[in-house]
Amino acid sequence: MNLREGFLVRAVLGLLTLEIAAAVGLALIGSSRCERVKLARPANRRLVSELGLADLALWSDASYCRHSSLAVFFSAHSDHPSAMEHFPAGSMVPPPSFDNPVPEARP
Amino acid sequence: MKRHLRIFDHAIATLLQSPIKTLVVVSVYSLLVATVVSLVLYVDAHHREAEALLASAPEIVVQRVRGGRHELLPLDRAAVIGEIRGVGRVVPRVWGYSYDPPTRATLTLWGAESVPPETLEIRQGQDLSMDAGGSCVVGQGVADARFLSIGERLPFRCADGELAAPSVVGIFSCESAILTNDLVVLPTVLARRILGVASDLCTDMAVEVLNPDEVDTVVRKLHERWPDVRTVTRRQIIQTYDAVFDWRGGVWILAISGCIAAFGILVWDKATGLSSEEARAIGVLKAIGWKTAEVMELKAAEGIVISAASLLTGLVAAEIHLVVFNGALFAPVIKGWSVLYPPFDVSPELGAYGVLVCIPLVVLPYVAATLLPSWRAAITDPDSAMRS
Repeated sequence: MNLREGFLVRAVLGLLTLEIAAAVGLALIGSSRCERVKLARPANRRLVSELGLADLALWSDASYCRHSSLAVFFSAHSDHPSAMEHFPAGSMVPPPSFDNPVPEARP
Repeated sequence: MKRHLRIFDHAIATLLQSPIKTLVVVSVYSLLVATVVSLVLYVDAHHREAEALLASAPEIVVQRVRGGRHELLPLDRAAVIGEIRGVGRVVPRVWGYSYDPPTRATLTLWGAESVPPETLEIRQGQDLSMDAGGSCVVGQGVADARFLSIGERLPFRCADGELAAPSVVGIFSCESAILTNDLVVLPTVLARRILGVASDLCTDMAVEVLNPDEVDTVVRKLHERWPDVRTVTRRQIIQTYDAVFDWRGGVWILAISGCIAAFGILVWDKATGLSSEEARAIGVLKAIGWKTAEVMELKAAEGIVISAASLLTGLVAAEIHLVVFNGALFAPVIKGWSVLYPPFDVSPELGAYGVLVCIPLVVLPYVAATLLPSWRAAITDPDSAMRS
Protein backbone atom coordinates (compact mmCIF):
# COMPACT_ATOMS: atom_id res chain seq x y z
CA MET A 1 0.00 0.00 0.00
CA ASN A 2 1.53 3.29 -1.02
CA LEU A 3 1.44 6.53 0.97
CA ARG A 4 -1.64 7.95 -0.84
CA GLU A 5 -3.69 4.81 -0.24
CA GLY A 6 -2.86 4.71 3.46
CA PHE A 7 -3.64 8.40 3.82
CA LEU A 8 -7.17 8.05 2.38
CA VAL A 9 -8.10 5.17 4.67
CA ARG A 10 -6.65 6.93 7.69
CA ALA A 11 -8.36 10.21 6.81
CA VAL A 12 -11.78 8.58 6.49
CA LEU A 13 -11.35 6.51 9.65
CA GLY A 14 -10.16 9.61 11.51
CA LEU A 15 -13.19 11.58 10.33
CA LEU A 16 -15.56 8.81 11.42
CA THR A 17 -13.82 8.56 14.82
CA LEU A 18 -14.19 12.31 15.27
CA GLU A 19 -17.90 12.05 14.49
CA ILE A 20 -18.32 9.18 16.97
CA ALA A 21 -16.53 11.25 19.64
CA ALA A 22 -18.76 14.25 18.89
CA ALA A 23 -21.90 12.08 19.06
CA VAL A 24 -20.88 10.52 22.38
CA GLY A 25 -19.83 13.91 23.82
CA LEU A 26 -23.12 15.57 22.86
CA ALA A 27 -25.08 12.61 24.26
CA LEU A 28 -23.26 12.96 27.59
CA ILE A 29 -23.85 16.73 27.70
CA GLY A 30 -27.53 16.16 26.90
CA SER A 31 -28.03 13.57 29.63
CA SER A 32 -26.19 15.60 32.28
CA ARG A 33 -28.11 18.79 31.39
CA CYS A 34 -31.42 17.11 32.06
CA GLU A 35 -30.32 15.61 35.35
CA ARG A 36 -32.33 18.30 37.18
CA VAL A 37 -35.51 17.09 35.47
CA LYS A 38 -34.79 13.53 36.55
CA LEU A 39 -33.99 14.57 40.12
CA ALA A 40 -37.36 16.30 40.39
CA ARG A 41 -39.29 13.23 39.26
CA PRO A 42 -39.80 11.58 42.68
CA ALA A 43 -41.26 14.81 44.13
CA ASN A 44 -43.46 15.28 41.06
CA ARG A 45 -44.69 11.71 41.27
CA ARG A 46 -45.59 12.27 44.91
CA LEU A 47 -47.51 15.37 43.89
CA VAL A 48 -49.39 13.38 41.23
CA SER A 49 -50.12 10.67 43.76
CA GLU A 50 -51.25 12.98 46.60
CA LEU A 51 -53.40 15.35 44.56
CA GLY A 52 -54.52 12.64 42.14
CA LEU A 53 -53.45 14.64 39.08
CA ALA A 54 -54.17 12.91 35.81
CA ASP A 55 -52.79 15.28 33.19
CA LEU A 56 -49.82 17.42 32.26
CA ALA A 57 -50.30 21.19 32.46
CA LEU A 58 -49.21 21.74 28.88
CA TRP A 59 -52.23 23.04 26.98
CA SER A 60 -54.29 24.93 29.52
CA ASP A 61 -56.61 27.01 27.38
CA ALA A 62 -59.48 24.58 26.86
CA SER A 63 -60.74 21.94 29.24
CA TYR A 64 -60.37 19.14 26.70
CA CYS A 65 -56.74 20.19 26.11
CA ARG A 66 -55.85 20.74 29.77
CA HIS A 67 -57.30 17.42 30.85
CA SER A 68 -57.06 15.43 27.63
CA SER A 69 -57.38 12.09 29.37
CA LEU A 70 -60.45 13.06 31.42
CA ALA A 71 -62.33 14.88 28.65
CA VAL A 72 -65.28 13.22 26.95
CA PHE A 73 -64.22 12.25 23.42
CA PHE A 74 -66.44 14.78 21.67
CA SER A 75 -66.06 17.65 24.15
CA ALA A 76 -64.04 19.58 21.55
CA HIS A 77 -67.11 19.52 19.29
CA SER A 78 -69.83 19.81 21.87
CA ASP A 79 -70.85 23.45 21.53
CA HIS A 80 -73.55 22.82 18.95
CA PRO A 81 -74.47 20.08 16.46
CA SER A 82 -71.76 19.51 13.82
CA ALA A 83 -69.49 22.01 15.56
CA MET A 84 -65.90 22.02 14.41
CA GLU A 85 -63.10 22.04 16.95
CA HIS A 86 -62.32 25.72 17.08
CA PHE A 87 -60.29 26.45 20.17
CA PRO A 88 -56.73 27.50 19.27
CA ALA A 89 -55.11 25.44 22.05
CA GLY A 90 -56.17 22.36 20.12
CA SER A 91 -54.03 23.39 17.19
CA MET A 92 -50.30 23.69 16.66
CA VAL A 93 -49.71 27.36 16.09
CA PRO A 94 -50.56 30.16 18.53
CA PRO A 95 -52.90 32.90 17.35
CA PRO A 96 -51.38 36.22 16.29
CA SER A 97 -50.92 38.73 19.11
CA PHE A 98 -53.53 41.41 18.71
CA ASP A 99 -52.94 44.93 19.93
CA ASN A 100 -56.49 45.37 21.20
CA PRO A 101 -56.80 46.08 24.92
CA VAL A 102 -57.55 43.28 27.34
CA PRO A 103 -61.33 42.98 27.69
CA GLU A 104 -62.80 43.86 31.06
CA ALA A 105 -64.31 41.08 33.13
CA ARG A 106 -68.06 40.99 32.79
CA PRO A 107 -69.84 42.26 35.88
CA MET B 1 -6.16 -8.07 5.56
CA LYS B 2 -3.96 -5.95 3.32
CA ARG B 3 -6.08 -6.93 0.33
CA HIS B 4 -9.26 -5.78 2.12
CA LEU B 5 -7.61 -2.49 3.08
CA ARG B 6 -6.63 -1.90 -0.52
CA ILE B 7 -10.18 -2.59 -1.68
CA PHE B 8 -11.44 -0.21 1.01
CA ASP B 9 -8.95 2.40 -0.11
CA HIS B 10 -9.97 1.94 -3.77
CA ALA B 11 -13.63 2.41 -2.72
CA ILE B 12 -12.79 5.76 -1.09
CA ALA B 13 -10.77 6.82 -4.13
CA THR B 14 -13.72 5.90 -6.39
CA LEU B 15 -16.07 8.02 -4.26
CA LEU B 16 -13.64 10.97 -4.39
CA GLN B 17 -13.50 10.78 -8.18
CA SER B 18 -16.96 12.37 -8.22
CA PRO B 19 -16.85 14.56 -5.08
CA ILE B 20 -19.96 16.65 -5.85
CA LYS B 21 -22.12 13.57 -6.32
CA THR B 22 -20.74 11.97 -3.14
CA LEU B 23 -21.29 15.19 -1.19
CA VAL B 24 -24.90 15.50 -2.40
CA VAL B 25 -25.64 11.87 -1.50
CA VAL B 26 -24.06 12.25 1.98
CA SER B 27 -25.92 15.55 2.56
CA VAL B 28 -29.36 14.17 1.63
CA TYR B 29 -28.69 10.99 3.55
CA SER B 30 -27.45 12.91 6.65
CA LEU B 31 -30.42 15.28 6.55
CA LEU B 32 -32.81 12.34 6.51
CA VAL B 33 -31.00 10.60 9.39
CA ALA B 34 -30.84 13.86 11.41
CA THR B 35 -34.55 14.52 10.93
CA VAL B 36 -35.67 10.98 11.71
CA VAL B 37 -33.38 10.54 14.77
CA SER B 38 -34.22 13.99 16.07
CA LEU B 39 -37.96 13.41 15.77
CA VAL B 40 -37.86 9.88 17.18
CA LEU B 41 -35.76 10.92 20.21
CA TYR B 42 -37.77 14.10 20.86
CA VAL B 43 -41.13 12.31 20.77
CA ASP B 44 -39.69 9.41 22.79
CA ALA B 45 -38.44 11.84 25.48
CA HIS B 46 -41.96 13.31 25.79
CA HIS B 47 -43.44 9.81 26.04
CA ARG B 48 -40.97 8.90 28.78
CA GLU B 49 -41.60 12.09 30.74
CA ALA B 50 -45.39 11.68 30.58
CA GLU B 51 -45.18 8.00 31.50
CA ALA B 52 -42.74 8.62 34.38
CA LEU B 53 -44.95 11.33 35.90
CA LEU B 54 -48.35 9.79 35.32
CA ALA B 55 -47.33 6.34 36.56
CA SER B 56 -48.68 7.43 39.95
CA ALA B 57 -51.94 8.91 38.58
CA PRO B 58 -55.19 7.55 40.07
CA GLU B 59 -55.86 3.92 39.19
CA ILE B 60 -59.43 4.81 38.17
CA VAL B 61 -61.10 8.21 37.85
CA VAL B 62 -64.88 7.98 38.09
CA GLN B 63 -66.93 10.71 36.43
CA ARG B 64 -70.60 11.22 35.76
CA VAL B 65 -71.76 12.04 32.26
CA ARG B 66 -75.24 13.18 31.29
CA GLY B 67 -76.23 14.11 27.76
CA GLY B 68 -72.61 13.78 26.72
CA ARG B 69 -71.46 16.36 29.24
CA HIS B 70 -69.72 16.05 32.56
CA GLU B 71 -71.94 16.38 35.58
CA LEU B 72 -71.11 16.62 39.24
CA LEU B 73 -71.05 13.33 41.09
CA PRO B 74 -73.07 12.70 44.32
CA LEU B 75 -70.70 12.23 47.26
CA ASP B 76 -72.68 9.30 48.68
CA ARG B 77 -71.46 7.13 45.81
CA ALA B 78 -68.00 7.11 47.41
CA ALA B 79 -69.15 4.80 50.20
CA VAL B 80 -70.79 2.41 47.73
CA ILE B 81 -67.68 2.33 45.54
CA GLY B 82 -65.55 1.67 48.64
CA GLU B 83 -67.57 -1.49 49.33
CA ILE B 84 -66.65 -3.06 45.99
CA ARG B 85 -64.21 -5.90 46.64
CA GLY B 86 -60.64 -4.94 45.74
CA VAL B 87 -61.18 -1.20 46.07
CA GLY B 88 -58.91 0.69 48.48
CA ARG B 89 -59.29 4.43 49.05
CA VAL B 90 -61.96 6.44 47.27
CA VAL B 91 -61.15 10.15 47.17
CA PRO B 92 -63.87 12.58 46.04
CA ARG B 93 -62.22 15.53 44.28
CA VAL B 94 -63.33 19.08 43.73
CA TRP B 95 -61.68 20.86 40.84
CA GLY B 96 -62.54 23.05 37.88
CA TYR B 97 -61.45 25.97 35.78
CA SER B 98 -61.52 29.71 36.16
CA TYR B 99 -60.84 32.22 33.38
CA ASP B 100 -58.52 34.99 34.48
CA PRO B 101 -59.34 38.12 32.40
CA PRO B 102 -56.16 40.14 33.16
CA THR B 103 -53.89 37.41 31.81
CA ARG B 104 -56.41 35.83 29.40
CA ALA B 105 -55.35 32.49 30.87
CA THR B 106 -57.53 29.69 32.15
CA LEU B 107 -56.47 28.54 35.61
CA THR B 108 -57.12 25.11 37.05
CA LEU B 109 -58.50 25.30 40.60
CA TRP B 110 -57.90 22.20 42.71
CA GLY B 111 -59.32 21.48 46.13
CA ALA B 112 -56.83 19.90 48.56
CA GLU B 113 -55.86 20.31 52.18
CA SER B 114 -52.09 20.05 51.68
CA VAL B 115 -49.40 19.69 49.04
CA PRO B 116 -46.06 17.85 49.27
CA PRO B 117 -43.57 20.44 50.65
CA GLU B 118 -40.73 19.23 48.41
CA THR B 119 -42.60 20.44 45.33
CA LEU B 120 -42.67 24.02 46.56
CA GLU B 121 -40.09 26.62 45.62
CA ILE B 122 -41.13 29.18 48.21
CA ARG B 123 -43.41 28.67 51.14
CA GLN B 124 -44.49 30.60 54.18
CA GLY B 125 -42.83 28.98 57.17
CA GLN B 126 -43.05 25.22 57.55
CA ASP B 127 -46.78 25.02 58.10
CA LEU B 128 -48.47 24.34 54.82
CA SER B 129 -51.88 23.54 56.17
CA MET B 130 -54.35 25.76 54.38
CA ASP B 131 -57.36 26.93 56.29
CA ALA B 132 -60.73 27.69 54.76
CA GLY B 133 -60.20 31.36 55.53
CA GLY B 134 -58.40 31.77 52.29
CA SER B 135 -54.96 30.58 51.35
CA CYS B 136 -53.65 28.96 48.22
CA VAL B 137 -50.59 27.48 46.56
CA VAL B 138 -50.03 28.57 42.96
CA GLY B 139 -47.96 27.28 40.06
CA GLN B 140 -44.99 29.18 38.64
CA GLY B 141 -46.96 30.20 35.57
CA VAL B 142 -49.74 31.75 37.65
CA ALA B 143 -47.25 33.51 39.95
CA ASP B 144 -45.32 34.94 36.99
CA ALA B 145 -48.42 35.98 35.03
CA ARG B 146 -50.00 37.72 38.02
CA PHE B 147 -46.71 38.93 39.59
CA LEU B 148 -47.60 37.10 42.79
CA SER B 149 -45.33 36.50 45.72
CA ILE B 150 -45.91 35.01 49.15
CA GLY B 151 -48.59 36.80 51.17
CA GLU B 152 -50.26 38.48 48.18
CA ARG B 153 -53.87 37.78 47.32
CA LEU B 154 -55.29 36.16 44.19
CA PRO B 155 -58.91 37.29 43.71
CA PHE B 156 -61.65 35.06 42.27
CA ARG B 157 -65.31 35.73 41.64
CA CYS B 158 -67.26 32.95 43.34
CA ALA B 159 -70.22 31.19 41.73
CA ASP B 160 -72.57 33.17 43.99
CA GLY B 161 -71.05 36.49 42.85
CA GLU B 162 -69.09 37.11 46.03
CA LEU B 163 -65.38 37.85 45.89
CA ALA B 164 -62.82 35.44 47.35
CA ALA B 165 -59.20 36.50 47.63
CA PRO B 166 -57.05 33.74 49.12
CA SER B 167 -53.51 34.71 50.04
CA VAL B 168 -50.60 32.89 48.44
CA VAL B 169 -48.79 30.68 50.97
CA GLY B 170 -46.65 28.73 48.53
CA ILE B 171 -45.42 28.67 44.94
CA PHE B 172 -44.74 25.41 43.16
CA SER B 173 -41.18 24.86 41.94
CA CYS B 174 -40.09 25.22 38.32
CA GLU B 175 -39.31 21.50 38.24
CA SER B 176 -42.97 20.69 38.84
CA ALA B 177 -44.22 23.22 36.28
CA ILE B 178 -45.12 20.49 33.80
CA LEU B 179 -47.82 19.47 36.31
CA THR B 180 -48.58 22.65 38.18
CA ASN B 181 -47.95 25.65 35.91
CA ASP B 182 -51.61 26.76 35.76
CA LEU B 183 -52.63 25.17 39.04
CA VAL B 184 -54.14 26.97 42.04
CA VAL B 185 -54.52 24.60 45.00
CA LEU B 186 -57.13 25.80 47.48
CA PRO B 187 -58.78 24.31 50.57
CA THR B 188 -61.68 22.17 49.36
CA VAL B 189 -64.26 24.34 51.13
CA LEU B 190 -63.02 27.43 49.29
CA ALA B 191 -62.77 25.56 45.99
CA ARG B 192 -66.43 24.54 46.42
CA ARG B 193 -67.41 28.19 47.00
CA ILE B 194 -65.55 29.50 43.96
CA LEU B 195 -66.61 26.69 41.61
CA GLY B 196 -70.17 26.46 42.92
CA VAL B 197 -69.99 22.81 43.89
CA ALA B 198 -72.53 21.94 46.61
CA SER B 199 -71.31 20.13 49.71
CA ASP B 200 -72.99 16.85 48.72
CA LEU B 201 -71.36 16.79 45.27
CA CYS B 202 -67.86 16.46 43.84
CA THR B 203 -66.25 16.82 40.41
CA ASP B 204 -65.06 13.22 40.21
CA MET B 205 -63.57 10.47 42.37
CA ALA B 206 -60.13 8.90 42.38
CA VAL B 207 -60.40 5.20 43.11
CA GLU B 208 -57.50 3.08 44.33
CA VAL B 209 -57.53 -0.58 43.35
CA LEU B 210 -55.49 -2.85 45.61
CA ASN B 211 -54.65 -5.39 42.91
CA PRO B 212 -53.90 -3.74 39.53
CA ASP B 213 -55.11 -6.91 37.74
CA GLU B 214 -58.61 -6.23 39.05
CA VAL B 215 -58.97 -2.75 37.54
CA ASP B 216 -61.11 -3.99 34.62
CA THR B 217 -63.38 -5.93 36.99
CA VAL B 218 -63.89 -2.88 39.22
CA VAL B 219 -64.61 -0.75 36.13
CA ARG B 220 -67.20 -3.29 34.94
CA LYS B 221 -68.88 -3.30 38.36
CA LEU B 222 -69.01 0.51 38.38
CA HIS B 223 -70.70 0.57 34.97
CA GLU B 224 -73.16 -2.12 36.03
CA ARG B 225 -74.06 -0.22 39.18
CA TRP B 226 -74.42 3.26 37.58
CA PRO B 227 -75.12 3.52 33.84
CA ASP B 228 -74.23 7.23 33.86
CA VAL B 229 -70.63 6.84 35.03
CA ARG B 230 -67.59 7.23 32.86
CA THR B 231 -64.35 5.70 34.05
CA VAL B 232 -60.80 6.57 33.04
CA THR B 233 -58.07 4.14 34.08
CA ARG B 234 -54.40 4.94 34.60
CA ARG B 235 -53.56 2.89 31.51
CA GLN B 236 -55.93 5.04 29.46
CA ILE B 237 -54.41 8.23 30.91
CA ILE B 238 -50.91 7.16 29.79
CA GLN B 239 -52.28 5.96 26.43
CA THR B 240 -53.85 9.38 25.90
CA TYR B 241 -50.46 11.07 26.09
CA ASP B 242 -48.89 8.37 23.92
CA ALA B 243 -51.56 9.09 21.33
CA VAL B 244 -51.21 12.88 21.61
CA PHE B 245 -47.44 12.89 21.17
CA ASP B 246 -47.58 10.20 18.46
CA TRP B 247 -50.17 12.27 16.60
CA ARG B 248 -48.10 15.42 16.90
CA GLY B 249 -44.98 13.50 15.79
CA GLY B 250 -47.02 12.10 12.89
CA VAL B 251 -47.69 15.61 11.67
CA TRP B 252 -43.96 16.11 11.39
CA ILE B 253 -43.50 12.79 9.60
CA LEU B 254 -46.06 14.06 7.10
CA ALA B 255 -44.08 17.27 6.71
CA ILE B 256 -40.80 15.44 6.07
CA SER B 257 -42.38 12.81 3.84
CA GLY B 258 -41.02 14.79 0.86
CA CYS B 259 -37.47 14.25 2.15
CA ILE B 260 -38.19 10.54 2.68
CA ALA B 261 -39.65 10.30 -0.85
CA ALA B 262 -36.53 12.01 -2.29
CA PHE B 263 -34.36 9.47 -0.52
CA GLY B 264 -36.59 6.65 -1.81
CA ILE B 265 -36.18 7.92 -5.38
CA LEU B 266 -32.40 8.08 -4.89
CA VAL B 267 -32.35 4.48 -3.64
CA TRP B 268 -34.70 3.33 -6.44
CA ASP B 269 -32.54 5.06 -9.03
CA LYS B 270 -29.47 3.23 -7.77
CA ALA B 271 -31.24 -0.11 -7.43
CA THR B 272 -32.64 -0.13 -10.96
CA GLY B 273 -29.30 0.16 -12.70
CA LEU B 274 -25.78 1.41 -12.89
CA SER B 275 -24.66 4.36 -14.95
CA SER B 276 -22.64 3.48 -18.05
CA GLU B 277 -19.50 4.80 -16.34
CA GLU B 278 -20.00 2.56 -13.32
CA ALA B 279 -20.72 -0.48 -15.52
CA ARG B 280 -17.59 0.27 -17.56
CA ALA B 281 -15.50 0.57 -14.38
CA ILE B 282 -16.76 -2.81 -13.17
CA GLY B 283 -16.02 -4.29 -16.61
CA VAL B 284 -12.45 -2.94 -16.47
CA LEU B 285 -11.93 -4.37 -12.99
CA LYS B 286 -13.21 -7.75 -14.14
CA ALA B 287 -11.03 -7.58 -17.26
CA ILE B 288 -7.84 -6.96 -15.24
CA GLY B 289 -8.54 -9.96 -13.07
CA TRP B 290 -10.83 -8.90 -10.21
CA LYS B 291 -13.14 -11.65 -9.03
CA THR B 292 -16.88 -11.11 -8.62
CA ALA B 293 -16.53 -11.32 -4.81
CA GLU B 294 -13.89 -8.59 -4.87
CA VAL B 295 -16.05 -6.31 -7.02
CA MET B 296 -18.92 -6.89 -4.62
CA GLU B 297 -16.63 -6.12 -1.67
CA LEU B 298 -15.61 -2.88 -3.36
CA LYS B 299 -19.22 -1.82 -3.91
CA ALA B 300 -20.20 -2.86 -0.36
CA ALA B 301 -17.29 -0.76 0.97
CA GLU B 302 -18.54 2.24 -1.03
CA GLY B 303 -22.04 1.80 0.41
CA ILE B 304 -20.73 1.30 3.95
CA VAL B 305 -18.47 4.38 3.81
CA ILE B 306 -21.36 6.55 2.53
CA SER B 307 -23.78 5.06 5.08
CA ALA B 308 -21.40 5.32 8.05
CA ALA B 309 -20.40 8.89 7.25
CA SER B 310 -24.02 9.94 6.70
CA LEU B 311 -25.34 8.09 9.75
CA LEU B 312 -22.75 9.67 12.05
CA THR B 313 -23.13 13.15 10.52
CA GLY B 314 -26.91 12.80 10.88
CA LEU B 315 -26.60 11.68 14.51
CA VAL B 316 -24.31 14.59 15.39
CA ALA B 317 -26.67 17.04 13.64
CA ALA B 318 -29.66 15.54 15.52
CA GLU B 319 -27.88 15.89 18.85
CA ILE B 320 -26.87 19.48 18.13
CA HIS B 321 -30.52 20.19 17.33
CA LEU B 322 -31.75 18.52 20.52
CA VAL B 323 -29.02 19.47 23.00
CA VAL B 324 -27.94 22.91 21.80
CA PHE B 325 -31.21 24.15 20.30
CA ASN B 326 -33.62 22.17 22.56
CA GLY B 327 -35.39 20.65 19.56
CA ALA B 328 -36.41 24.12 18.38
CA LEU B 329 -37.50 22.84 14.97
CA PHE B 330 -40.02 20.33 16.33
CA ALA B 331 -41.00 22.06 19.59
CA PRO B 332 -43.87 24.20 18.21
CA VAL B 333 -45.64 21.12 16.86
CA ILE B 334 -44.75 18.49 19.47
CA LYS B 335 -45.13 20.74 22.52
CA GLY B 336 -47.97 22.92 21.19
CA TRP B 337 -48.64 26.23 22.82
CA SER B 338 -50.67 27.81 25.57
CA VAL B 339 -51.05 31.21 27.24
CA LEU B 340 -49.45 29.69 30.35
CA TYR B 341 -46.96 27.27 28.88
CA PRO B 342 -44.68 25.52 31.39
CA PRO B 343 -40.94 25.94 30.88
CA PHE B 344 -39.70 22.39 30.69
CA ASP B 345 -36.95 20.51 28.92
CA VAL B 346 -37.31 16.87 28.10
CA SER B 347 -34.21 14.70 28.16
CA PRO B 348 -33.64 13.10 24.76
CA GLU B 349 -31.25 10.22 25.28
CA LEU B 350 -29.20 8.99 22.37
CA GLY B 351 -28.98 5.27 22.82
CA ALA B 352 -29.16 2.14 20.76
CA TYR B 353 -32.82 2.94 20.03
CA GLY B 354 -32.11 6.04 17.91
CA VAL B 355 -29.38 4.30 15.95
CA LEU B 356 -31.31 1.06 15.50
CA VAL B 357 -34.31 2.95 14.10
CA CYS B 358 -32.14 4.34 11.30
CA ILE B 359 -30.28 1.18 10.33
CA PRO B 360 -33.28 -0.70 8.82
CA LEU B 361 -34.87 2.51 7.62
CA VAL B 362 -32.05 4.06 5.67
CA VAL B 363 -28.75 2.17 5.95
CA LEU B 364 -29.83 -1.30 4.82
CA PRO B 365 -31.85 -0.08 1.79
CA TYR B 366 -28.94 2.07 0.62
CA VAL B 367 -26.31 -0.69 0.93
CA ALA B 368 -28.69 -3.16 -0.75
CA ALA B 369 -29.36 -0.66 -3.53
CA THR B 370 -25.61 -0.32 -4.08
CA LEU B 371 -24.98 -4.05 -4.14
CA LEU B 372 -27.82 -5.35 -6.33
CA PRO B 373 -26.99 -3.62 -9.65
CA SER B 374 -23.26 -4.11 -9.03
CA TRP B 375 -23.83 -7.83 -8.63
CA ARG B 376 -25.73 -7.90 -11.92
CA ALA B 377 -22.84 -6.10 -13.67
CA ALA B 378 -20.17 -8.19 -11.93
CA ILE B 379 -21.57 -11.54 -13.09
CA THR B 380 -21.77 -10.48 -16.74
CA ASP B 381 -18.96 -10.83 -19.22
CA PRO B 382 -16.40 -7.98 -18.82
CA ASP B 383 -16.59 -7.21 -22.54
CA SER B 384 -20.37 -6.77 -22.54
CA ALA B 385 -20.20 -4.84 -19.22
CA MET B 386 -17.76 -2.36 -20.79
CA ARG B 387 -19.85 -2.07 -23.97
CA SER B 388 -23.20 -1.63 -22.15
